[in-house]
Amino acid sequence: MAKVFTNSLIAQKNNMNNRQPWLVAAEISVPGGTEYIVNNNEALEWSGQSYSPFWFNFGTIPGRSTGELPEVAVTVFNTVEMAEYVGENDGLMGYGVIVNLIYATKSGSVWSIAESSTDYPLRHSFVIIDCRPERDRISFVLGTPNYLRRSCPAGLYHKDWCDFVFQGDYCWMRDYTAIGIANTCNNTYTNCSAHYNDQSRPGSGIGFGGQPNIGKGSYVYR
Amino acid sequence: MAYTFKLQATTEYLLDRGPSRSAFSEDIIDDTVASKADGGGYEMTLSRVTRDLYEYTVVYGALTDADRTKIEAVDTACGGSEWFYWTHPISGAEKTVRFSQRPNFKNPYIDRSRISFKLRDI
Repeated sequence: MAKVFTNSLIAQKNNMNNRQPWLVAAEISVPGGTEYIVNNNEALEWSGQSYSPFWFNFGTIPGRSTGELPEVAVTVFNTVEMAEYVGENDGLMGYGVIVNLIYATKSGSVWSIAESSTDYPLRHSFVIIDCRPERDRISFVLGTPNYLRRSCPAGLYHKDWCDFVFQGDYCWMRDYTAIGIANTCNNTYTNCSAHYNDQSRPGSGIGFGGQPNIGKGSYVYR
Repeated sequence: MAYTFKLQATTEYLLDRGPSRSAFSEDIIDDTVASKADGGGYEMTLSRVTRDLYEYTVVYGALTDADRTKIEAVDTACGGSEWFYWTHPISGAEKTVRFSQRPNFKNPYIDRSRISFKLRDI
């Protein structure tokens, strides 16, 4: 059901010479909590929540008539701390962002947001689907969750190829270091077997991330 | 009035005198978003943000070497990117600013310097 614009919101939208700025107030779900930011040069209160001033450039929410999912580009200034934070949290991929397009009004010398945040009509929910750090800025792409973006099947077993990262979480060599051969991997069964013999054949067999017993050129889904 | 520069680390530099009042200027940084429409060139306008920011042009005509050293210390510590507190020479209000144009030193007298710089609200 379409959301209802209040009369004051319509009047503000149609005002051609407006002292009240339109701003983007965002609620970002990040590891450890929610950050409230607004692209303004001072903090603003909205429904008891303080939105911190934070520069970001918010792209256009596209109108789509052919069924594609909307994507919006958001750019933030790349400070050292920002780049580290994003890097430590896998580019914030998959985290939710709620975007409110709001306008501020001034009473006396105090700016505030007049509209109620409950069932606010210009409120859009996104998730971060792409992150590209550059030298002076970080570009995010906000989109909507789409199960077609997920790999299906989750993976394939090949005859002579292991998809696991060497000494990564799924590799049996994770807790070992090569003794008599190079501590590297070329993802083949031969190399995995050499590591297995190098470690004096631990455990119950070679933990190869492929299926050497299937036919050449075949796959097994997992 | 105390003409001060105060760094974030609470280091405070107190100058003996204020800047030249006649050369001092403050200019509002216009944040208006304007869009020209086709109908007779009518302009749609909108404020971009809620707070007005100013840029201050500050000139000291003949500053002592002791005061010059203090301004140099602020410039060395903050450069053009770090903010500090500065006392507005007319209102006496404490402003949070940064150098938008770093100090320019001239030496017209033996023991006095002419210094000019610009500060911008952050």
